[in-house]
Amino acid sequence: MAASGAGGGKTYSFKVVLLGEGCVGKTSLVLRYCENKFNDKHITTLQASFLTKKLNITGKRVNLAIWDTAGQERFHALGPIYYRDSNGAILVYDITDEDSFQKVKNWVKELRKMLGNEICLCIVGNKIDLDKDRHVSVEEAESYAESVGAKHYHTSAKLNKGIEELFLDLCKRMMETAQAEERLKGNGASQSASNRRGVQIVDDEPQATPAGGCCSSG
Amino acid sequence: MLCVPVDEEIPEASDSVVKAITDVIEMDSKRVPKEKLGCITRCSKHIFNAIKISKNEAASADDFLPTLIYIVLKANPPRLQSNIQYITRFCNPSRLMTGEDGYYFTNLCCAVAFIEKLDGQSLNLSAEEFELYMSGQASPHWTQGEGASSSSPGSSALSQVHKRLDLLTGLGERQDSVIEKARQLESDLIDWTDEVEQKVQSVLESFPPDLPKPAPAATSASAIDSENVENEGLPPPLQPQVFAG
Repeated sequence: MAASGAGGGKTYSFKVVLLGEGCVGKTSLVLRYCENKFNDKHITTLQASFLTKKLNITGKRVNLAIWDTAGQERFHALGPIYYRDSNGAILVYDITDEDSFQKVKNWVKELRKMLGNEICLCIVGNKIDLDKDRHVSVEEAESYAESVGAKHYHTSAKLNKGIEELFLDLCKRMMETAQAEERLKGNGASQSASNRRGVQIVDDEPQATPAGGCCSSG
Repeated sequence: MLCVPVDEEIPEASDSVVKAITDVIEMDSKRVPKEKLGCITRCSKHIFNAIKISKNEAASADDFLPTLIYIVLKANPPRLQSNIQYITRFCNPSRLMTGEDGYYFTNLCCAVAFIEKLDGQSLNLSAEEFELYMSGQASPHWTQGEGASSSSPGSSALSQVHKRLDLLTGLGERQDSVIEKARQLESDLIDWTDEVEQKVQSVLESFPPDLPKPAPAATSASAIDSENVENEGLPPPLQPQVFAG
């Protein structure tokens, strides 16, 4: 969902969900990306489930909101509530765990069914530092990713490998999708890329003082 | 079970749990969606705090959602469904979909959806076990679950419940004994009054000649009254004197 920016150029706001089985390293991945820390006792953030990152890609500002999801199987049914209206999804599996790759396949099917091609998918094989215990072959994973129109990446949160590339690539693809959508809607609509809702309310809160908003005068 | 990663034995953690419960309950008293969202966010922050204290690491969604479910169950916030519907319909959609508040709100929706569909499978229980728990025929107890139960974080709460149950049964027993003793006391009192009555009776029986003795005295007193013997010794009543004037 691209929102208007203040001042020159425009700021994109993207919502990215992290999906994947528990223990594949979703949280480590995002903590490494946003805080550049791994298994650190001195992590400053209280939580690692909702993180934001500001980027500047070819002069365009991007606000990335990364939503972590609970990976346990029993919460699988709650998926649609999480990934609704998201621009990108990062599907993480553990290269040493065949099962987690199957879960990714389930997620891909579900996402394509529910959101069509609007969403940019990234399939990520994490824990490449444990390559000697690999149970998911590189060829299999890459050919599968290609067959469903997703990009495949190999990362290691522990060694900080491939993570920057993953997010940067994803952002570029999401920007392309947003721009394509905008062109489709005509150049006039710079405000919004999502007109799925009947009424468009412009959020003007950042300009207002905290006490002056129409909502806060009780 | 739910596997909540919060150790309520730690005072700070249980403190945060209480604060989180207060915040989620407070949501109903706020008027505008933004303030309601604020309550959810504060509640979530307290949950993260509790997890951080218990686990000593930053909380991930894997930890957060089960804890939120636990908090919602424990708090039973008034008109939760109505509040969620209200926020969904009247809050700025972009705030709900992208911001931090939106993330916590989404998690709350997930928690509610999970609770609505709760079954044995989602708690890692077999259908029979779930049925037993739901019908109250089984209850989670230290002795039942052996190692598995004692190692799960939820069991601390359960053990507390059991401690309280034990206390309650103890209290009931003590109350029974109090009631029994009270009855004993009552019958003792009745016996005592009977005994006293009997004693008085026996005393009266053993000294029957004593009773008539005071009678003559009483008659003589009345004789004094009737004959006005004493009155004669008294000076004559004062006569009113008339002063001239």
